[in-house]
Amino acid sequence: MADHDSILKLLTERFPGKVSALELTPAQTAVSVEAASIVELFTFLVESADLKMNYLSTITGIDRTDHIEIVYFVSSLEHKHMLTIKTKVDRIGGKIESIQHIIPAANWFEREVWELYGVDFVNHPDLRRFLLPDDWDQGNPMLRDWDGRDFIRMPEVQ
Amino acid sequence: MGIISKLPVYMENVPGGTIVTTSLEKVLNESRASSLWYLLFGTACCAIEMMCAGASRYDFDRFGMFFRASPRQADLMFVAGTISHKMAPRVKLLYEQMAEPRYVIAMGGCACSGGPFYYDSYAVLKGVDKIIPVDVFLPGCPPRPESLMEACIKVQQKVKKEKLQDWSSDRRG
Amino acid sequence: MNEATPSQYSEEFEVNMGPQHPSTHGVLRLMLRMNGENIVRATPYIGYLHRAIEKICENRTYAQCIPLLDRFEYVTSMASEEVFVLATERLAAVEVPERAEYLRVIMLEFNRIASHLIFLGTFSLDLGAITPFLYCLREREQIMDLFEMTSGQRLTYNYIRVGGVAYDIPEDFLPLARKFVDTFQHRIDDYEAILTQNPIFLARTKNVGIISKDIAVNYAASGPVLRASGVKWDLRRDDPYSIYDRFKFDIPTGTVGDTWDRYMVRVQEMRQSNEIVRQALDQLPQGDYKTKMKAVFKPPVGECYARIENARGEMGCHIISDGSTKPYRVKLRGGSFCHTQLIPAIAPGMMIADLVATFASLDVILPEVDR
Repeated sequence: MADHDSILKLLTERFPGKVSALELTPAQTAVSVEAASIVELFTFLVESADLKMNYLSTITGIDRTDHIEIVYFVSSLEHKHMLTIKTKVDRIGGKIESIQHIIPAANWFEREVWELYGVDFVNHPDLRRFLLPDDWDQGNPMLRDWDGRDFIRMPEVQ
Repeated sequence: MGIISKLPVYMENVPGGTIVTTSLEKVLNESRASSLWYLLFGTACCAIEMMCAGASRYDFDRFGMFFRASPRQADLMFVAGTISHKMAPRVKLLYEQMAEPRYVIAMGGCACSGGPFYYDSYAVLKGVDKIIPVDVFLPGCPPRPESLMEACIKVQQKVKKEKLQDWSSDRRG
Repeated sequence: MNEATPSQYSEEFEVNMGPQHPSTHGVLRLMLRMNGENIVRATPYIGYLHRAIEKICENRTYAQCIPLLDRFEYVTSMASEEVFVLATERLAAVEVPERAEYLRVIMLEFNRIASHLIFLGTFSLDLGAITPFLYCLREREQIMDLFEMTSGQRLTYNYIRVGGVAYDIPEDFLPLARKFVDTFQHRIDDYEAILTQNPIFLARTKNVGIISKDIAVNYAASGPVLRASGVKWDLRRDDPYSIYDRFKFDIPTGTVGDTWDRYMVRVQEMRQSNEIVRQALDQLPQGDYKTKMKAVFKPPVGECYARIENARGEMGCHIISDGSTKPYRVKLRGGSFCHTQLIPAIAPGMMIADLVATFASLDVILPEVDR
């Protein structure tokens, strides 16, 4: 069972320059990775005997106003450790490789991020309308500056 | 005497039994009101309370109400839960599939007006009365099974007051 | 199981199931490609209950989010409150009083029992047995009474708050809860007497809808579905939160991963939850039930993913705070989301009636999928 430091060390040494350790508050094991190496990283995470991280909790998109951050939470049922993986893509026309062929559970998570944030997942087999109505024409609603039908911003509480 | 005591009747004893004279309208309305079969259709939280109302403690069956899985066999529809814009055409379709006369109870805040999703949800229909006619609005998030029963009693009262000549097919849009 | 091979006498056709089909437990729509009675391909369509809860949470303060979270997973509302509150408390490093933790565990486990009772009721209803439904809902009403006397609500409680719980339990809660815990273990025997060895039930569930260990893990199944496939993984033990490390309980697992195993795992879990409640009631300390919080709550900048073991598996909440009164982003993860995704993987080759049984045994509720 690998602990916090050894996971980070293993990953940064295996992918020098591509993966770097992240300090988050509150403390958690986290790395940031270049969008181009996401498939490489996940292949390693699943296949490495020390990590065996094949349980994908979720994929989140976050609109940071200048870029979109995609966060993967992946854990190992055998070693009982968890890893947060962060990557950045462009806000408009952002592209990232799909990891659906490595972990099938990513399929729907990626579809959701594609629909709500407009991030294109390359090689995803099934990017169709997902949560929104079939005739939806108002863009990607989870973007921070999205302003569409029926959405009233609440006043800020001081 | 049960149901007979509620009707305007003229009774005449004859050898071997009784002849009852009453109005057809009253008999039909009374029997319709006592056997409102509802469509088993719930979308969100209210559906759980609807299930509770049909189960052990609250026991809808004693109103003569029993769930039907097909809209073609149902008289009454509980719109139990949030209706999203994606779901709205389906609800309309379900309503149209029901045989006339048909009744609708908008159960819960979401079905009445959008409820907690009124101000800032882009996906929720703000009140089911925008797509289908509603007979009884039942607020609550979710309403208790007792209030659902009261709503049903209101529908029963409405049914009992209906006139026979009002039963034309396009009466309720 | 029959192989889905095209026969020379039949041609394939499409069947649309839902979104108002009674056995889809809500508003799931399945497009089934059929060959006779065998499914060739199943495609789920979701989003019929998409209410944009994640978007609304960005627009509300932390306290205002909790009622919305109740509607995210309404069968176990306590759990969906807990996961949000847990993430917020980790962000802001809020200390929770001991008594509040115990009250939370009691409510969470009661809610797990209530949820499994709904499962058992609707599952047997889908298989054509009405009696267990009436039995299960009878016991569930007693739990609802306990919740109602504590929080004032039957379904959407808004009870677990940041820094504790909203109210202390009333005086007559403890005797009623004890009475329930004592009688409930015999009630489970009653349900099992009707179902577990019933030949019709066995014929409908044994070796139906098998989910292998690999498929379960790859598709991120969790909770009873994962455990029925033989993976001993329970977040209460493997990633402890709250005070679950103080209680003794077993983690029931299945062997084959069929519908019957999933039923059995849930029944065993009800027994275990009952025992946890009994221990928590015995250990319940006196003291405060909430910490004093500032009127305007602003957690520091940071982000946190909290996950708990819900009745439907791993429920996660990822909160990002930018230091203001509103969360910058709330991501909700429900077990049902992944379990719905399992259907296209396991449905091919199945009979349509078996799909109904299998889907009921996954215990999917749709608001957790659509959010």
